[in-house]
Amino acid sequence: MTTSDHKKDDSRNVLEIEHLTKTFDSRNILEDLSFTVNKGEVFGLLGPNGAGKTTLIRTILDIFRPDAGTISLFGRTFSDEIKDAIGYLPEEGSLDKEIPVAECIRYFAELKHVDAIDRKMDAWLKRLDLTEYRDKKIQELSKGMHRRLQFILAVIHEPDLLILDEPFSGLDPLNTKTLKDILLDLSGKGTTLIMSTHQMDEVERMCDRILMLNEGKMVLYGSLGEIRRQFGLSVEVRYEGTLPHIDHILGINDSGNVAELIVEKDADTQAILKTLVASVTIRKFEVKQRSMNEIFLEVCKR
Amino acid sequence: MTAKALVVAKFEFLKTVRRKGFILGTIGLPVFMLIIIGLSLYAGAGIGTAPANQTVGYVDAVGFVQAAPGFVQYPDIAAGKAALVNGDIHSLLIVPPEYIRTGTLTVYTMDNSLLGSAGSSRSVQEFMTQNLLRHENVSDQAAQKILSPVSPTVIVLDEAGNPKGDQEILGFLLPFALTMVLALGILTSSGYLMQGIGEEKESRRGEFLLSHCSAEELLGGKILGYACVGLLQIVVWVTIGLAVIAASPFAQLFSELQVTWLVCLAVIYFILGYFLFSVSTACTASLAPSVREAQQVSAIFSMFAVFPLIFLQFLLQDPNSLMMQFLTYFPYTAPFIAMVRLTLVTVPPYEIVVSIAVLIISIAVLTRLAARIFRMGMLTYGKRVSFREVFRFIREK
Repeated sequence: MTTSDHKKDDSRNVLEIEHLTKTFDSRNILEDLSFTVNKGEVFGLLGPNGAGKTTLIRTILDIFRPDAGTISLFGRTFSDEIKDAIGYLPEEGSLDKEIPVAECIRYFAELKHVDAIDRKMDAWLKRLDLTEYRDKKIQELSKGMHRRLQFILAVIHEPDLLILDEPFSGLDPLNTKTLKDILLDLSGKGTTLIMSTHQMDEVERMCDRILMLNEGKMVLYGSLGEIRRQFGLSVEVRYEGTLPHIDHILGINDSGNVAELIVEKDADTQAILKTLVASVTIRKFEVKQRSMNEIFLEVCKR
Repeated sequence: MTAKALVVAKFEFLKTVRRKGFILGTIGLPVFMLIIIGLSLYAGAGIGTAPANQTVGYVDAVGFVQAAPGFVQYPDIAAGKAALVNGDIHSLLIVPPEYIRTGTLTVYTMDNSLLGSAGSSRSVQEFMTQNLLRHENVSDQAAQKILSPVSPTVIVLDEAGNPKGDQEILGFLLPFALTMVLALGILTSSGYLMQGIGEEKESRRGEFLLSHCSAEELLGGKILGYACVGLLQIVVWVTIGLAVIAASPFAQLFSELQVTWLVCLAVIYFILGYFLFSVSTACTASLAPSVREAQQVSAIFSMFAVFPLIFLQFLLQDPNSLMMQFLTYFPYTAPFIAMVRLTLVTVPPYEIVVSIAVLIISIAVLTRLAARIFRMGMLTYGKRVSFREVFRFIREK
C-alpha cells in the first residue's frame, strides 16, 4: 500500500476501533473503546494522566496488541505497509546524541523506505530552521531544536496518519506557531492528525472531533460543537453586591466581583439576567459556550 | 531478515565502529598487548645478562680464577675500585680467601638497578662455575655439559603411538587460542549491544523506534549489527596476531597450516555462542532500569565465558568428567568448555552434536521470548521489572 493509495480512497475511515480492551495485570487499561477517525480530520485525544492515552496510541501503533476488539487502519488490519503510512511524535524520549542530525534523519527515513531522502531532509530542515545544524551532532541542539528534529523524523515519510503526543511540549511560542501552521498545512493536504494533548486551547483551535478517556473508558466523543452543546452554557458576570439564588444554575465559580455561572442545558439566560439585575449591579453579562478546559475539569471530577 | 532489520544493523555497526572506544579497543588492545609482551621479552632477556657486553673486573685472593674474555684481573681491591670509578669496568668481583669454603663473593658496582646487578648475571655465574669446576678437576667436556642448559627434544605421540608433527600440535594450540579470542569477541560485542539497548531505554527512545519497525526487526538488526562489530574486531585482532607471527621466527610453523575441523567447530561455536549471549544480553538490557544495572546483571553471562579458566584444573585432570560433559551440554558454557575439551582430548562426536543441538534449540526458544520481553521491557521506564512482570511480557500477544 502506498501513500497515494490511501489518498485516492476518501470514503474510508482512517482508523476504526471496535470494542477495544487492553488489560495489564487483570486491570483494564482500555475498556471497550469504539470510535472512528475520519480521513483528513484533526482528532483530539484527551484525558487526565493515567487515563490510557499512551496505551491507546501504542495499541494503534501495534506496539501493544489488543486483548479484545479490533483495530482497522485504512480499512485493513495492521501490517508493515500500514506502519510506514503512520508518523508518530512521542511526548518523551531523546535521540542518540552522539550522531549528526543528517545521519539520524537518514536512519529513520530508511526505516520508512523514503526515497530522495536528501532532498526531503533539506526541505524539512529549512522549513523548521535547522539547516545550519544538518551536520552537527544532536547533543548540540537545544530542547526546542531537538523537538523540531523529532517532528521531522515523524513526517519525513509523508505519512497519511500522524499521531502526535503533546506536540507543543518544550516549544516556545514562536516554534509552537510554526509547528501549528505546519500541522494545519498537512491537515489541509489530507493528512489525518491524532493529537494527544492537555493544552485545551490548542484543542479548541485545531481539533474537529475529540475523544476523551478517563480510567480507560470513553467519557466524551464527538465534534467540539456537539460536546459543548451537551455541556450547556456558561455566563460570565462582573457585578457589585451579593449574588442572589438563581434557578437553573449547575454551579458557580465566584471570585467576588466576577462569577462564572454554569447554566443548565436549554436554560433561559434572559431570565437569569433579570434575576441578577434585581439584586446586584451588573457591569458585564456574557453568555458563552463552555470552554474545553471547563468541560475537561468537570468530566475528570466525575 | 527484513530490509528494516538490515537498516538497523547497518546503523548500529557504523555508529559503533566510529566510536573512539571501539577504535581504541580494537587497535589499541593488541598494540598494548604487543608492547607488554615486547617489554617482558626485553626485560627477560636482560635478566642475568646485564653485563654481557661490559667488562667485569676481579680480585682473586684464592688464586684459582683463570682469565676469560670480558674479565680483567686486578692486583688488589683499591686498583679494582679505581678502575670501576674510572668507568673501565662495569663491576668488580672480590673472590675472598675463604671463597672455596663459603662460596661468598663481594661485588662492587656503580649500577644500582636490579637488572644491572653484576652478582646475579648469568655471565658472572658461568664464569665462576667454570673456574670452580676446573678447580675440582672436572674435565672441560663434563664442565660444558654441566653448564649447558638441558634442551630435550619433545616428541608428542598421538593415540596410535605415532609421533605428531608440528602442524598437528599447532592444530591443537590454534583452536585453544582461537576460543579465547572468540570468547573475548563474544563478550565485547554483546557488551556493546547491551550498552546500546541500555542507552536507548534510558533515553526512552524505544517507543519511537518501535513505531518505525517491529521488535523482532529492531532486535534482529541490533544483534546482526553488533555481530559484525565483533567479527570485525576479531578479524583485526587475528590479522595483527598473524602479522606478528609472520614477522617472528615461528612463521615457518604456520606456513603450511591447514584449516582443520577444530577451527570449523570454533567458528560454529562462536556464531552460536554470540547469538545466545546477544539475545540474553538484549533481554537483560531491556529489563534493567539503567545501563549500570544491566552491566551488573550481564556480568553473570561473562562468568560463563571464563568457566574454562575457573575449571582449568579439572579440565586438565579429566576433560571427559561428568561435570565437563554437563558443562558441554549447558548452552551458556558449551561454546567455551567444548572447544577447550576438543583441544585436549577426543570428545565423543555425539556430545558435540548434542551440545550444538542444545545451543540451537536454546537460541530458537530464547529468540521467540526475547522479542516479547524486549518489546515490553523497552517501554517499562524507571523501575525494576519483577519476574512476574517478565512472565506477563512473555504472555503478551
